[in-house]
Amino acid sequence: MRIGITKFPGTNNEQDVLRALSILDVKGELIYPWDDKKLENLDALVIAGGFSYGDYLRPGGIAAQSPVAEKLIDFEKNGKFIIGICNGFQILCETKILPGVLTTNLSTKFICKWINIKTENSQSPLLQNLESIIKIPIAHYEGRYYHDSNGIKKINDDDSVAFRYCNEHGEITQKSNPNGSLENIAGITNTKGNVLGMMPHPERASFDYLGSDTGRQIFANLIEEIKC
Amino acid sequence: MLTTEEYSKILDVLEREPNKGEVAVFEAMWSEHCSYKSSKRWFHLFNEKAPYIELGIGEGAGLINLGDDLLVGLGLESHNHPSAISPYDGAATGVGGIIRDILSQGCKPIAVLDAIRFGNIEKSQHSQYLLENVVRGISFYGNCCGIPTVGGEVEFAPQFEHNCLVNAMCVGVVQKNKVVRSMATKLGSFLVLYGARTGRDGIHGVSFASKDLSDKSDRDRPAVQIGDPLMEKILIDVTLELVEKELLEGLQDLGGGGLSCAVSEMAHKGNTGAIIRLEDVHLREDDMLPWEILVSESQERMLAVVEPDKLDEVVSILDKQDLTYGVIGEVTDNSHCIAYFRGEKIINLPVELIVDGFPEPERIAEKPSYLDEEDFLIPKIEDIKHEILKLLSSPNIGSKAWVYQQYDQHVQTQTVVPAGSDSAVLRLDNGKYVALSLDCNSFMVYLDPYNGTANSATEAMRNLIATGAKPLAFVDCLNFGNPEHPDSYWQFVESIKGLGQFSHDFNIPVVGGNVSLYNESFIEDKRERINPTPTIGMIGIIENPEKLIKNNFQEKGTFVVSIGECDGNLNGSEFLRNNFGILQGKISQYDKKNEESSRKAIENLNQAGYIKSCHDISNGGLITALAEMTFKNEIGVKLDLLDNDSFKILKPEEFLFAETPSRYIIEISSEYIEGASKMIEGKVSFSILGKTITKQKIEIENFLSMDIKQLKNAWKKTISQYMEN
Repeated sequence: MRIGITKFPGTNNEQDVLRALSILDVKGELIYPWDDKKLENLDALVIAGGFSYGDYLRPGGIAAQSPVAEKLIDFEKNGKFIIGICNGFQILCETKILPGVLTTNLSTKFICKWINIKTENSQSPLLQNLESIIKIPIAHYEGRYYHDSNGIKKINDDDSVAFRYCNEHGEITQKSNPNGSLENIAGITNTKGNVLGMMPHPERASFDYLGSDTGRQIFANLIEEIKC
Repeated sequence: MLTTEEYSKILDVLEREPNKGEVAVFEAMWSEHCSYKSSKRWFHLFNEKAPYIELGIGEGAGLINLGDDLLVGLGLESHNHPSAISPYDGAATGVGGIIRDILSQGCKPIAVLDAIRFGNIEKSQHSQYLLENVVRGISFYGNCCGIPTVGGEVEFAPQFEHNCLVNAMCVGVVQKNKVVRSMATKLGSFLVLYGARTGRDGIHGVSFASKDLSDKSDRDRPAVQIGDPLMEKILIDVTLELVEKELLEGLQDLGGGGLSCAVSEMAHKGNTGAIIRLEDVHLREDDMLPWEILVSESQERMLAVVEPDKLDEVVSILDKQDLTYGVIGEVTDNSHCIAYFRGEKIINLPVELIVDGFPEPERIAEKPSYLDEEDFLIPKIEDIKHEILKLLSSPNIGSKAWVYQQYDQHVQTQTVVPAGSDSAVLRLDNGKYVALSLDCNSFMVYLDPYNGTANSATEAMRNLIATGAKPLAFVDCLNFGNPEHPDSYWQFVESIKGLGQFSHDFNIPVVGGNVSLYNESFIEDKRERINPTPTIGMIGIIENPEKLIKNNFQEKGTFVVSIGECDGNLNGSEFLRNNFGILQGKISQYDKKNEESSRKAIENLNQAGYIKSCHDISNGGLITALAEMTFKNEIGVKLDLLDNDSFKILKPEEFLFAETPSRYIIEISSEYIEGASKMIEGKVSFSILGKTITKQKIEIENFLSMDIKQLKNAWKKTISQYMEN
């Protein structure tokens, strides 16, 4: 089993993802922007968070032009799994593999805090057996999910919403929306369900001592699917 | 500017006039900031020794052995002057600088903490602007570098209106066999400068930091450096790769004084000399003069000493990451630092003279006149509830979530306890926890620099103890006024004496730090000076993660016990200052014995497994500590003080608001209360205050009853209400 984790200049969550995978006995390998040829030998790719290329231009904008990113569309079409976390979600939107954009938080501030999300989509294999409410941290400046009304309608119709921000009782409320995302959207999948993009950090909710391990199941699902 | 005395010293040693480049080097290196010329003479007062100290004061990071040859590196620096002029870039580069300091010893940076101080945010728009942008600068830089900002402190007082303080602490880890030193020992080794290109930003930065700010300081804006966190992140990744492969003979970051400082300090420590060629330094601006290249303080640059047979591999790693570098010189044996530019000799100076040759200026210490101020009236308290709410809504007491939420606290997935508790706690790869605190009570130091400083150090220690950690070492950042003014210098000397005493009394050594003087200014002919602020960053270890103590009430029906005795002294307290504007009088004295017995009691009780939660009593006194313990889980508390001696003797406000040191509140289950009492009976002053309750209230029998929600609201909105308008 080969799972790659992208490491662009400025990526800073790659070690955290490696750590979360290692607790599941999987040794991930780092994929640099120039490693496009390595992609064909991978079973899955995690696009880790951070500030690829310093978020200069706009988050994910430069990484989406890298040799690795150019191969992503084929990778996705071949049905291989991709999880984009935080900056990785932004990169997936920049490459148009996932619809919509992530723009500046309504507060115009970086927000780092523990929040709750509710699992919505039951189609994607990556979202099976998750707790219905997941306690998980966010840390971003540009995490407000936005799309035009047709686009929002389509992802709802396609059952592509993966997670919505909610309160501790699982209610989707305005107050529990930390960044102003449309319809409290915290993560989405593609229609096939082999690509997941999310702003919250499951790798930071994969260990009890960090405050929650409910995010670990997402990586466990990924591993399970590759094994099949 | 060099003094006449300093210039004569240079003439004496060189037996010639220094040229322009040499003068620029002396101006940087003999500045207060680089030379510690007013402060160094007192460092002998510090305890610097413990068996686990691998590297003490003198390089980028102090190194502490946590066992298994896993070392943790600590550093703490100020970036006050730049942040006052240009808060966003000043704060960002302050964080960048301390990260590179840690990196210089080969440490992987794992956490940042910041102590920041501003004027009155309730009233001053300028202070709101500074807070907004300092926090944004720290957040922008630290977050992008992938280092969690896990704590620190925020303090507001009118004394910081014209001189804000930004102190940044960084913590890193390194295996003992991978440690790199900031010295150039091997002759013939190459000097490799890598990272960002050198530009004109930050020229004379250290000289600017070594004089008073004034209303004309805005003109010094070019002396403030500009940060590029992406470059810093790449620099960190590349440096850690070079360290891991053991390719570096020596390493130092370029900070104050730029290249001239890094080259001469490394040669000085290694008893060598160096030749550098300035035309091999990659520039941002082509027309820079040679002396500007020497003293530029452009950020994100490191100077490595590389042995000839390792140069190819170093270069190939730098090439792979597209990082700019230049092989700019060699290590020599002639104990001089010589710089050429296209064949022309720019400087030729003895290393010893640059680093250590400054004449020590005479400094006079005189007790300030404000300490002889007349007596003051003790205010009469009519409505204690009103006073409690007013105190909790003081920006110094209230929630700092507005600040901390802008910092990425979780990256690196090691943060067990983030900002907002007594200490931040991180899990290391060997499974042990380290706890970190960063503290100073500048008001107490203002009223009594000796006792106020020692008590601030004990507070940093109590924050670790209350978390279950064993304190190991500390770093300090000594922020004071102009040392040429006898009253400011007196504050400094008294404070360092207090800190030295503490370090000996508790066997907690100093492993590094920084001195920032000249934090005063004349604004419209009025002298404005900061509260003397010795910020103390302390580290402790929790060998067994199960001994980590929570800082808030865990269960209903448990006993609430206070450890240590309240002396009722309100002088210097946040209560008198915030509620009545009084900052006067004699503060509680530093008391080694009391502090020790309280500490032992907590340690023993925790060892025995008796403690459910614990919080130290400091800013805001007992009532604040109690309230803070109720907030998270909204568990109420009811005190029964009919038999409490202190409560009988003292006025209620003294009992509730005094900030007497050496005190903690602990929560103990009913099954353990007897065993716990027996354990500490006769060894420490303690009293059972009451119990946690189901009602979400803080109650004192026959005296007080307040809703937790009401208290929490007052506490919660305090900073955000001024910042979100």
